[in-house]
Order: sequence, then structure tokens, then C-alpha cells
Amino acid sequence: MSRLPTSAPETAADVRGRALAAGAQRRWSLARKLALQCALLPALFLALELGYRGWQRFEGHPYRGSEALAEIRRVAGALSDHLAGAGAEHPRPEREEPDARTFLHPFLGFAVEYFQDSFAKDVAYFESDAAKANFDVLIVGGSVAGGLCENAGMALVEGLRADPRLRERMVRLHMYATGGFKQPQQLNLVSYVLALGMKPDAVVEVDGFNELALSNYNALHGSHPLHPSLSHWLHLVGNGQFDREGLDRLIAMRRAQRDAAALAERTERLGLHASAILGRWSLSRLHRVRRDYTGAYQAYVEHMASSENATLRGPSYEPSLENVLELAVRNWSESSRSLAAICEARGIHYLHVLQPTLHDAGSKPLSEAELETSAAQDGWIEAVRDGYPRLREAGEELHRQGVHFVDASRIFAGVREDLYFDACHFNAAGHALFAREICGAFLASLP
Amino acid sequence: MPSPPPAPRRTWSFRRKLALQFLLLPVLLVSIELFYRGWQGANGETYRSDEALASMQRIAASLDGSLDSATAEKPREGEVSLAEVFLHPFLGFAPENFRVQLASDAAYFRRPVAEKNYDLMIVGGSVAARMCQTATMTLVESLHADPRIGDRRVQPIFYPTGGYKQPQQLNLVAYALNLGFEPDAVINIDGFNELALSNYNARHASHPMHPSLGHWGHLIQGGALDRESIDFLVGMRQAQRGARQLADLAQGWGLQRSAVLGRFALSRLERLQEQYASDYERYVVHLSTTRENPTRRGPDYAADLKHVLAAAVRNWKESSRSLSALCAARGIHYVHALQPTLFDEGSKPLTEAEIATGKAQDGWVEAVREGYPRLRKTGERLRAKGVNFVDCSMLFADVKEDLYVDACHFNEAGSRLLASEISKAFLASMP
Repeated sequence: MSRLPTSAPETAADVRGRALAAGAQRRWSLARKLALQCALLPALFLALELGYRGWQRFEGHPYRGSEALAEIRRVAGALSDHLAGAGAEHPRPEREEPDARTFLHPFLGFAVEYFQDSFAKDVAYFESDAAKANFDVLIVGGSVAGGLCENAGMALVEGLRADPRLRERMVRLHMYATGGFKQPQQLNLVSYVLALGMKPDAVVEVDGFNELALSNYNALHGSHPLHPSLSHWLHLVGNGQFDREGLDRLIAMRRAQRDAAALAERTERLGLHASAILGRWSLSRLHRVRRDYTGAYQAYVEHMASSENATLRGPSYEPSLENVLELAVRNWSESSRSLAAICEARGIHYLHVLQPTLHDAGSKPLSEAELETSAAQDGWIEAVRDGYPRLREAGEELHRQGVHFVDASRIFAGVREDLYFDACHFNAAGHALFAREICGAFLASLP
Repeated sequence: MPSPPPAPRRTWSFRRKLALQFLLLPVLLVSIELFYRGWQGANGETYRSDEALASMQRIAASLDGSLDSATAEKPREGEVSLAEVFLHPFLGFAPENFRVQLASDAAYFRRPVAEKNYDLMIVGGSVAARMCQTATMTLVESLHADPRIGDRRVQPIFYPTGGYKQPQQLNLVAYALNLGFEPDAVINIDGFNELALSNYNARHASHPMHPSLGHWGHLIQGGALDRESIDFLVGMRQAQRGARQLADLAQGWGLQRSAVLGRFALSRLERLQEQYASDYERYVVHLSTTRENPTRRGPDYAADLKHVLAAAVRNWKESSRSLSALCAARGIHYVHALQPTLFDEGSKPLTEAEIATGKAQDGWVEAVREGYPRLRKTGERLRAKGVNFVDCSMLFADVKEDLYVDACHFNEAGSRLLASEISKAFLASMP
């Protein structure tokens, strides 16, 4: 027998209890809640992105994905190329980048690997009739000269071609500027290519910063100031110093290099640079990796330089700043005299340009962004501050001796906009100004 | 009566026989020595102990100086060894003593005495080095006798280096000027290395303009040695040590005084020299075939003799033009001398001794035979462009005496002749 429900009068408490039970039935399940969260996440992220972009714009640093990507590529590329032959990544073929690995060169200290091909191709070119008809300009110097060719090569060519003396001729630039080169590497390079059979119509030498900063860096690390830049060259000649400490440093450097390459590749592949937040995050991680690399490299250089290696040390010298600058300035000046003489003997027009540089006091009113990125080692800064006035003075002496010397160290003195992106390199606007100055000086001195 | 027993034959005791043997041994040796000398004399090859000793020391010294820093002997006290070479950023390789010499010469040029002196810098390869070692006085005295130099002391600043070839001399002078050198004159003596060693490079997968692979190749291997390389190096080192020990032993015991022992020591030394040369050649071939090394290889080039010589001659000419120009810009008197060399046809009537010691690899011989006439012709063009070029390649054309000690180096008499010729040309072109 079934029990029948008993009916009883409904109280207020019963009503509230029933309502609560009904409400409990309508509460969202965990899955629904999660789904909502997921749906809201992009909105939240979008809000954050927009907020961040707005804030950045308000701060005067609007975010641009293309610029961030370029910066990521630049930093990762520089890291990848920095460790010489043994450690650098091979260029990715789809980018068709020249092979920037360096190798030990008998007369230049070190050279980038693609020079091998360039030398052979240019020698063949100079045997052709086209070379006789063209106006061939050989550009030598360090990374600033390299940046000039990349950023303002066309402006340079057009500026030269605008002159009636060159209007009928095709102007061809032969780019042999190399990051880290300093005199007498440019002198040796020019005499080497002439002996190989190249016959340029003109040689433009752009230098100044490396001859002071890197010479002082050498001296501070036990290597002669006239020797090639220790940090570019040491790895190629320091073989045999692979003790535990050396290996530890190398491993740290390689790890940083690989991390940088992987981070840059992932950022580009997933399009992270399109987001201000993720792009900035990638960039800051990349800068952290670069700091790790620089720290490990610095320790490696110091470790290697501490060894008694005749090749690295060079002749004995007095390492005080005063003496190092005297050696560096004489090296700069004598190399230019020799270059001018070698060119003159062959009827080659030679122009020597002193490049502007950030730590040269009074050479530019620095913007906030420039100040932020201008950090450099003390050795570089003191060499530039004390050395640039001497280079200007020695340049005037060169000019008196008949060398076509142009002092471009003050061309940014009235420019307030961002031109430098680190302690010595310019952006495209800086190179445009630089190219215009060089073009004017070149044509003014062209016979 | 029975005859008395015969007196026992007096036999020598074993000791006496032994003593006689010992007494006879020197007589035997002297007889052999005399017989050997007589036989040699009959064959027209008179033995001379001083020559034998000189040859022994020459062979041992040349082996000492051949292998680079990794294995070469440390110089003995008071002795300057050319063997200690190290990798140099602008010169390819340089002798260890350059580091000290460059610093001390740079310091010298900062002193007032340098302005008073007439500073003569000499660059080139081993022929120039030998001339500086054995005929400095000839050069200095003849310059001193000229009224234009007058009371000034002629200060030699010598930087010739075995195995150097252009552009090493050019880079060396440019580097020295950057360091603060202010010489009054520069003499560059070259020719042989620029052809022979360039061709050797080309045949061993290294650009003709690169430093001599035989002198430099070992320094750029980075110490990563495989088993075969180690075997070759061990063989070379054993030959080097053996030669030095034998030469010292021969000199210490005076073995050279005996024609038999002297010849024996000499022939043993020659065998060691051959062993060394063979191991070295195989080592260089091994290095050039087993590793793709951009440092050693250099830019692409055509390896046939015609193109190699074209590259070598152009390098020789352009480097001299550049040297001349950077000297002229500083008022430095520059003279470029083309040295004589044995395989240059018609350059000397060779003696039998010179023919016997004048052996060289085919690559050297063909490069000199084909290349020297081109250097002479190109030298004329250099002169037309205002370079003080002097062709000394036919300087020995009428000399019938021994001058060469091997395929390219001269004895003291040869070096004196060269020094005298160069000083004449130097003074004739001096402003």
C-alpha cells in the first residue's frame, strides 16, 4: 500500500525554499562558466591591448608592429652574427642574406665570409668593359659605413649622378665596410683589393668611432690598440684556450644565441609582434637574452685575453688613456695618409670622412629615446670624449697635407629628432643626412 | 839420441791479441780514411772538414727554423731564432722577436737620435735576411761614403723575414709607419717567393696572394689535430731533433775532421732532411685536402700556372706601387730590388756544387722559369711609373764561383755582391 501525500498548509518558509531550489537549478554549470570566461578573454585582452596602446601613445611612444619586428630581427640577427665562425648560425636561405660569419684573414685580421665571393666577383667585374665605362666607388669603414650603404646607398648614387661630371656614367658602389673594422684594416683592405686587380675610380673611407673606442677596449683588455677589435677577432685566434671556464662561457653564449634565434622565429611565425603587449614582451625578453649574451661574452673575452698569447698581445705599449689615444689617433691619421697616397698614385679619388658619434660632447642635442639607448662601456665613452677633438685636429692636419678629409662629426649638431638608436649607429634619417654631407664633400673635391 | 822436442811455438795470449787489435784499429781507420780521401780526390771531390761542418750546421739550422712555434726549439741564450713565428693580424705570420723589435724601434723613433741618424729599413724574404746578416757592412759603408749622408750614422732597421712575400712587406711598412716609425729609406728585396711560394699555395688550395702556406698553414689549423696530422708532426719533430743532436755531436767530437765520419754524419743529416721534407709535404697536402678552411683558401682563383703567375706578378707590381706611394708621401727614399735566383735561366753559370744542392720542387722551378722574365718586364713598367726599381736578377750572370747554397739562397760572397749592387742603385736614385 502506497502512502498518500498528506496535504498541509504552505508556509512562507516553504515558498522561499522552493524559490531557492528553482534558482539552484538555473545556476550555470562550470562548463558554461568556463566557456564564458573563454569568450570574454579576447575581449579582456583586446581591452588590455587598447589600454596599453593608448597609454603608450599618451606617453609619446606609439607602438608599431613593423618597427618592433624590425627591432626583433635586428637584435636577434646581431646576436647570431656576433660569435665568429665557430658559433654563428647559418643564414636562413629563404631570406637570401649574405653570410655574415667571420673568418680569420691573413691581412685584415678578420673578414666576413661573403667577402670571399665579393672579391672574386669584383675582380672579374673589373676585367670587364663595363667597369671601364662605370664610375666605381669603393666604400670602406666600420658598421656605420655599412649602415650608410644599406640605408642611403641609393641617395648616395643619385647624389653623385646628379653631377654633370658623372651624369653619363653608371655609378656603382662596392661595399666593403665591415662591422668592427678599424684602421689599418681599411688601408690593408684597399691595398689588398688593388693587388687583386680591382680598379675603382674612387674610395670613400668612413671612420672615427671604432679607431678610438675599440682601440681603448683592446688596450683595457691587454691587446695592442692597433690590433683588430678584440671582441670581433679574439674568438678566431683564441683556439686552445678551451679550459672549463672558457667552455662555460661559450656554452652560455651559444645558449643565449639559440634562445634569441628561437624567440625571434616564434614571434614572427605566430605574429606576436602584431600585439603591442606580446611584441613588447618578446622584445624585452630578447633584450634580456642579449644582456645575458653580452655578460657571457665579456667574461669570455676577459678570460681569453688573460692568456699569454703573442698574437693577441702585439707589441708592448703603455696602457694609459693618454698613450692609447696618441697611438689610436696616429694610426688613424697615418693610415689615411697611406690610403690617400696609394689612391693618388693610381688616379683614384679618395675621400676620408670623420663620422659623427653620440658621446662626442656637443655633437647633437640628444632626445630622451637617444639617451635611453645610449648606454656604452666607460672605455668607449672616455675614448670618444677625449679622442674626437684630437681626430678633428689631426683631420685638419691631414687636410693641410692634401688629403681630402671631411669632418662630418658635427652634422647632427642642430638636429633634435631621434637619429641614434644606440651609442653610435644612426637610423635611416641619420644616414640620409650623412649621405648628403658625404655627397657634397665628394663632389666638391672631385677633380 | 832423440832430438830435443821442438820448442813450443810462442803463441800470443788472448790478451796480447786483443791489445794488438786495439793498436791496429787506429791504423786501420787511418788507412780507410786515407784510402777514402784518395778515392774522393781521384774523383775530383776533395773533402774539406770546414765545409762539411758548415753543411751540417746549415742543415740542422734550416730544420730548426722550419717548423713553427708549436714545435720549434726555443732559441738558446744569445741566439735569435727565426723559428718562433706567431699568427699576426696584418702580416699573416711574424717571428716572435717582432713584438719586441717593433716596440723598441717605435721607442727609438721617439728619441732625438733618430732624427740625426739615417734610418734604413730593409724588408723582404730570407734572401734579404741573409744579406742583412752577412753583408750589412758592405751596404752601410757604401752609403756612409756618400756625401749626401755624410756625418749621419746609418742605422739599419731590418725586418726581412723568411717566407715573406708581397703584400706582407707592404703591410709591414704601413704598420710600422702607423706605429710611429719614420725611416729615411726603405729597401724591398723580393722576387723568388712572390712566384715560387704563390705557385706552391695555388697547388695546395690556397690563394696565390695568401701568405706562404708552408710557413703559415700550421698556424691557422686551430690546434684541432687528427691522428694523421699528429703522425706527420711527430715525424717532423723527430727529424728536427735528430738533426740538431747529430750536428751538435759531430761538432762536439770533431767528426768533421774525418772524411769517413764527416761524410757519414752528413749523409745521415741529409736523410733526416729528406724525411722532414717528405713529412712536411705530406702534412701540407693532408691539411689542404681534408679541411675546407676559408682562412686558408681565400677568394676563388684559377689554379693553372698562367693565371697563378698573372696574379702573382700583379700582386708583386701593385704592392710595390703602393709601397712606393706611401714612402713618397712621407719623403722616404724607396728602392725595390729584384733578387737573382738559381732557376732563372741565364742568370748564372752553375757550378757542380750548385747543381748538386740546387734541387727544388717542380712548382718552384716552373714558377721561376716562367715568371722571372715577366717580373723583369713588369719591373720596367714600374720604373716608367716612377718607382725606383733595380733589376739585380742577372747580377751573377758572369760569376763562375759557387754562390748558391741551395735553390735560392746565396753564400756570403753572393750576399756581398747583391748588397753592393743595391747600394749603387740606392745612391743613384737618391735625391
